[in-house]
Amino acid sequence: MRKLFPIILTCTILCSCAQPRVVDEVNMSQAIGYDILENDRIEGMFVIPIFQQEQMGKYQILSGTSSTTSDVQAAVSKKADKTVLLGQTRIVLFSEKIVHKIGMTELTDYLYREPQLGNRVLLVIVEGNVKNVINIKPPNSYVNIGIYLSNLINQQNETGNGPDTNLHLFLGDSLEDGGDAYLPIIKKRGKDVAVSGVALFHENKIVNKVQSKDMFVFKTLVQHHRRGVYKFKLNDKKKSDIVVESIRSGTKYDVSGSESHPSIRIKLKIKGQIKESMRSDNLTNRKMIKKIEQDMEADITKQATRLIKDFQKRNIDPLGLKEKFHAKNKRMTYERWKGMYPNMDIRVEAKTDILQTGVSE
Amino acid sequence: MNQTDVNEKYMVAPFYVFFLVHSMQTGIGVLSFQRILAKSTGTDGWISILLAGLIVHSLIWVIYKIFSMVPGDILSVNHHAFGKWGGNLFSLLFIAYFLVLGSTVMVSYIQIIHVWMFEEVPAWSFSLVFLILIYYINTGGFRTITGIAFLSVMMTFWLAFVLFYAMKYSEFTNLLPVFDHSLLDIWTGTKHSALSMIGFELILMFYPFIKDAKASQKYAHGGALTTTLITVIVYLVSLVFYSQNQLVLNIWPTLTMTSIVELAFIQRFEYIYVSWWAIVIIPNITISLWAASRGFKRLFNVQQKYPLWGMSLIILIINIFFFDVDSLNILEKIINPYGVLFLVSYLPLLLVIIYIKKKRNRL
Repeated sequence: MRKLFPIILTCTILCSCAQPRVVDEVNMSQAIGYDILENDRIEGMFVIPIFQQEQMGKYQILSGTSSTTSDVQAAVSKKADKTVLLGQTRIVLFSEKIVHKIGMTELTDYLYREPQLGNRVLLVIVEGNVKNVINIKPPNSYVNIGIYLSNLINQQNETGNGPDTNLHLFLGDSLEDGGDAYLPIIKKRGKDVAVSGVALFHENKIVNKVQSKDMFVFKTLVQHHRRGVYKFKLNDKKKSDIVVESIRSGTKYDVSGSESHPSIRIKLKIKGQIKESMRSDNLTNRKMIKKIEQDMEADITKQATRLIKDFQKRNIDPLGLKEKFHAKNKRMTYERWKGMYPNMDIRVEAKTDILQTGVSE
Repeated sequence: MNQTDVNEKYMVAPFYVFFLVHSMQTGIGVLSFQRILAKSTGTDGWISILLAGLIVHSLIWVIYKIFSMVPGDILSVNHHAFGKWGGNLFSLLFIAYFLVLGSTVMVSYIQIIHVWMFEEVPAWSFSLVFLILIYYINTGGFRTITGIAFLSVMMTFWLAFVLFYAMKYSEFTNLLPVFDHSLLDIWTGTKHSALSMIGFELILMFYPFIKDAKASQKYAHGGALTTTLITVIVYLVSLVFYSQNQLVLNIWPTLTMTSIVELAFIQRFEYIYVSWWAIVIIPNITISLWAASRGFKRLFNVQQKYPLWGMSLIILIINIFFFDVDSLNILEKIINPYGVLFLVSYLPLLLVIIYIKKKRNRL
C-alpha cells in the first residue's frame, strides 16, 4: 500500500481542473430585469455589485439584448470585463409587456433549468418598464437596487400584505392545469418604487390584478398571515376608520365532494389587535370590541366574496380550489372543472377575534 | 472452482449486514426516483414503494433460504444447481450485473456533479479519483469495505433530515386523493422505484464473509426496511413540496428540494448536499466492484486485484469515451428493467431448483 500513497496524494493536483469563481473576479449578478423592445428583442439588465474598500453599495447595471433570456447573459458578458454569473441572484423582474408577448412558462424555463440559480429567487412583475425601476437610486446607499428590491418584497411578504412567492412556489402553481398562479407587482411612483398589487396568471398570461387595497384579503385566502394590516370603516353614523393588525390567520376549506351540487365553504379566522381607531370612544368596552369584530367580519366576508365572484367570472383560480376539490373528488378532470367552477357555490365565512387593543384605552 | 471457505479473521459480525444492505441500497436512486414514479403513480406512489419493499423482503428471505440449503455464495449455488457450464454462465451474468451496477452509479454521480457543480471538469478525472480510492479500500479486504459502509451510513444519516426544511413550503392537499390510481399504475410504479431498492442482492456475494450468517437475516431485513421507510418519507415530502407537474419536470427532485435550504452561513445548501453525497456513493461502487472482482477470482482462480484493475479500467474507459446522457440511459436500462427482471425471476427459480434437487437426493 506504500506505493499507492503517492498516487493518492497527487490526486489533490486535480483540484485545479475546476474553474475557481472568486467573488471579485466575476460579475456577480444580484438582480436581473427583462424588458421587451419594440422589435420583439429581449433586453436584459443585470445589477452587479462592485466590491471596493470603504465603498459599500456601489454597483453597476449591465444590459444587453438578444432574442432569448439565456442568451442575454452571453450578450452582456461580451461587453463586460468579467463574465456574468447568476449564483447570487435574489430577484428577477419581468415587465408586464414581456409576459404578455412571450409567456411566463417560456420565460421561467431557463431560470428553473439553470442549476446556478436557487429556487428561492423572487419573481416580480413590473408595471411599466423594468428599466425605469432598476435605474432608481435606492433610498439608502448601503445596498444596491437588486438587494433593495428583494428586501422590499421579502419584507412585504413576511410582515405585510404581500403573498409569499418565489420561483419554486410560482412554478408549482403555474405548471398545473390552467396555470393559475400569482406574483407581486411593483411600480415606480415618482422617485420611489412600491408594491402596487398582485398579478394573477392564467394559462401563461397575466389576466387580472388584485388591487393593493384587496391584498390583505387575498393573502388571507391563499396563505397564513403574520402581520398584515387591514383598514376598514366602522358601520356607524360617523363611518370612522379602524385599523386592525392581524397577528395570525388561518384558512379552512370545506369541500363538498358531491358531483351534482359542488360547493366550497371557506372559513377565515383572523386573530388581531387594534392598531388605530379614529374615534374617541372607549375601546375597552366589551360591546365596542364586539361591534368592531362583527363589522370587520362582515367587511372581510364582503370583500372576499367580491374577489371570488370576480375570479369565478373570469374562470381563474388563484386560490388553488381545483386541487382542494380534486382531493375530495377523484373523478374530476380539468375540463369538467372549467365548466363547473364559474357557477360553483363558494361561500366565505370570516371569524375575527380581537386579542388586544394596544397600550392605550 | 476453489472453496468458498473464508478464514474467520476476514469475517464480519452479523450486525454489520444492516449497514452493508442499507448503504448499498441507498445511492443514486433516492435522488431521482420521484420523477418517474410520479409520472405513473402520482399521489399513490408510496403504495408502490411499499410494494417494492415487500418484494425486496421476500427476495432477501429467498436468498437466506437458498444459503441455508447450499452454503457458500451465489457461484457455488449456481454450480450446485446447473452444473459446471450452466452454473458458470449464470455466474458470469451476475459478475457482469455487479460491474454494470457499479459503473451506473459512478456515471450517474459524475453526471450530477457536472450538472450541479463543475460542468467543465472532465468525467475521467472524477472517475480516476474515485477508482483509486475504491481500489485502495478494496485492497483492505472485506472488513475494510464493511467499515466504509458503516461509516457512510453514520455520516450521511443527517441528510435525510435536511428534507424536512422543505416542509416550510408544504401543501398537504397534494397527498390527496388516495387510491386514485389503478392497480396496474401502482404496479408500474413499483417497477419504476426498483432502482432505489436494489442493492440487497450483494448478500449473494458476501454471505460467506458473515460470521454466524444465519443470525444476520434479521439485520438484512432491518436494512431493507430502513431503506423502504426512508424512500417512502422522501417521496411523501416531495409530494407535499412539489405540485404534480413540477415533480415530473425535475430530474433530481431531492436535490432541487435542498436548494430551498438557506442557512446563515451558506446560501446554497445543495452544493454541500451534492458533495456529501460522494460518501453515500463510495460504498455503492466499492461493494459492487468488490463483488464483481471476487466472482471473477472464484471463477477463474486468479488474484482478486487483476480483475479489479480490469474493471476499473473498463469504468475509466466508459467515462473517457462514452460519457454522456445517452450512455447513462443505456446503463440504467440494463439495470432496470433487465437486471431487476433477472433478479426477480432468477432467485425464486434457483430456490425451487435447489429444493427439488435436495428432495430428489434424499429419496
